[in-house]
Amino acid sequence: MKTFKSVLFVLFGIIVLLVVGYFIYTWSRV
Amino acid sequence: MNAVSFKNFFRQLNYRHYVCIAITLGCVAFTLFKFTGSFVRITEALRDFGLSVAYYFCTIFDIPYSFTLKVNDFSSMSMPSVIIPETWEVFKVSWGQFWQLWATKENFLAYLSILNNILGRGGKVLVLLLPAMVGVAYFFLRQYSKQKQGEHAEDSVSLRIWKRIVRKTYFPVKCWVLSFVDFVRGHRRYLFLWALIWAFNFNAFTIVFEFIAYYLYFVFSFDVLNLYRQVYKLFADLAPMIMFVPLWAWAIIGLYFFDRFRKRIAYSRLWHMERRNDGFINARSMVLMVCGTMGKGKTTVLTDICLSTEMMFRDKAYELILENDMRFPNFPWIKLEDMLRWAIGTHYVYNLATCKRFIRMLEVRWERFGRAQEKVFDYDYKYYGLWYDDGAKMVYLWDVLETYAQLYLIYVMESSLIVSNYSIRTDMLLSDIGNFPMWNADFFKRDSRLIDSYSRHAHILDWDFMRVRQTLAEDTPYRHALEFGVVAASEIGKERRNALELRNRSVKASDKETNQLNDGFNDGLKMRRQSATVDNYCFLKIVSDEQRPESFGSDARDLFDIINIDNRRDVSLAMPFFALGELVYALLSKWFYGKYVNGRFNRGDYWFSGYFVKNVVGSIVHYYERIYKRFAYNRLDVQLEKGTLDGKYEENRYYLSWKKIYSKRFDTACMSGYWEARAALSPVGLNDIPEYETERATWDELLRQNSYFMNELYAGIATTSEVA
Repeated sequence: MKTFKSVLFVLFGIIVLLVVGYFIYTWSRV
Repeated sequence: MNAVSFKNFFRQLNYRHYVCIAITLGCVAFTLFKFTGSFVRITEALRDFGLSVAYYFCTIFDIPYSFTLKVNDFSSMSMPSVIIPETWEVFKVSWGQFWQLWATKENFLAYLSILNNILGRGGKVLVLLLPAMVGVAYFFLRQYSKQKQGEHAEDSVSLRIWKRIVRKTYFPVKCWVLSFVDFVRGHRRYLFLWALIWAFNFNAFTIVFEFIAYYLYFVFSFDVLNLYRQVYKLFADLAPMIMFVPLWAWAIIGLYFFDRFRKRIAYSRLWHMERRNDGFINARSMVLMVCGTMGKGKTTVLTDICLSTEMMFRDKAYELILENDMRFPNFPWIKLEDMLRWAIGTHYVYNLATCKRFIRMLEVRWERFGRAQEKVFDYDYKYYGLWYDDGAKMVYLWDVLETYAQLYLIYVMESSLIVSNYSIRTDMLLSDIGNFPMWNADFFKRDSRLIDSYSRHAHILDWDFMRVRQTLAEDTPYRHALEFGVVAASEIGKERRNALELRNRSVKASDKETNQLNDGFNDGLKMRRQSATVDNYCFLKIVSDEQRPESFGSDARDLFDIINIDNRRDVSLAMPFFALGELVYALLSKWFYGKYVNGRFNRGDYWFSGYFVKNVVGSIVHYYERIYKRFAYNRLDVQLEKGTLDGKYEENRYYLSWKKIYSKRFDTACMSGYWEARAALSPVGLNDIPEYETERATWDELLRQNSYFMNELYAGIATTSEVA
């Protein structure tokens, strides 16, 4: 259960990084 | 200094100074050849600052001026390109474009394409490295299942070579680097100088001067429109630093600050729990009993309560000292404190009673000398007065001095305030530079490597402290020593027993020998708080633990608040964002321990790959363990009940922080001394105790149990055979 939760949190972290990356990428194209 | 001694001075100088000077020259070289723009920017910033100061004073004093402010001008040098546009108008347009672009499918697909490129490159590297990685992994894993006898407890040849190489290369380099770091820490002027140079290189001084310049300009002009330009200039000034530091270094810096951020959250959460515990303890009676079945952590909670209470007593004494100080704000308290320090140092004052006696003696002396000012610490009482009106009553100076002195004694006492029947380690630190001392009770930030250097331990509890009539020891100087403090009495029921047990043991109040019925323990308990009350606050707490509250006699137990530990929840971590650490640890440890045990079974030597893997996994395990030991906690669900055991429960919770309570605070087998002495008398051990021959015990084997029941059965058989 603990490992499963960790996997979920890590996935969530990756998604947050990807979203932040998308914002930065968009701003760099303006 | 002559030429020879000058030469000797350089010869005797630690060579690390030369290394530091070389580093300094390197930093200066960067300033001169790489960051030349910093000189231009600092000149402009000083100009802007000077003009803004002039503008500020001219505006304040209505002085006419003819100069033009430059704080809103762009730099004369070509500014590096930054991520935001130069003007607010362009920024507004860009902002609109940003959101339009953000929502387009084309932009999203382009982003995915870039991600795909990055992942593709990573994938190519992975494909290239994969055969090698598989080969290495196969080789590493094969070693664990390879059976090898002989060379027991010896290093393999490859490992021996590796260790020799490490000892000759890595180890000396590491030692030198550590010694150099130590040297630099000891000579902070180098650190200061390097920080200064790099702050200059990265325009830190420019930013500060520009900020003050704009501030001085803004307070009168309220020029909000030019605020954006300042933001742009800030980005432009930061650009040299952003571009100079490589991406990997930014990643490390980012991780460092992220780590600090999550640890700060963890400390704040731990302190929140500690304050909650304090509230919980304060809401309870002066006497407490922690109950629960074996292994629930009764003694742990008991110890935790004692540590928190000790800290609260110091805090309360400090708070009341300040309150009393403010009653006579012009009294020279420092002189009183100096005299108290002398009296405590000469053992003239050592408890609350002698403290009171000492102050009263000073009062009598003051009266005897015709109320001379120098006999009341040079306090000008004729001007400032001897009485204070608190709105409810008038308070006399000497009464306040008496209270202050008692509080000061409680506050500055360096030894622990805990008196217990098992050892408890405390590590409250008293910082004193000769003025008013300050306590540092930060349980959570103690360096585990240094705790032995500043630890104190609880005082030994002599049960005669608590007896007001007969005592066990005839002559003991400690009998009346306990006035205030935190008394921890583990397993109090076994010491005091309940009425039923005492009756069964034929213990009577009329016995000549001291026993639980004639020692006046219960009477003492009921009145004990009166000796410890200073300024209407009781500086005494008696905390005990027992498996069943009924084991303790009801006359005393009725006074107690009972804390039943109902449930100990699974461990939680106060530090957030540790999911990746958890995942790596869980996967790696699960994989490694299986392999490791296999390897230990199959072979008896130490081999290179095993050594390498074990050290890598070991560092991860150590990191994980240290994080948990510092930031883990257990939540306990507790039920509160009155000592009368009326069956009414109140649900509450208590937090056990690992760093606080598992930091060599006490031995969980705190009474093991008795069992060790008992076991030492035994000529045999577990291995020597006879075993049953089969699954069914024989009659002889049953009789070897020395059981009442079996003996009764045996007596029955014997009687039957006699009758027969």
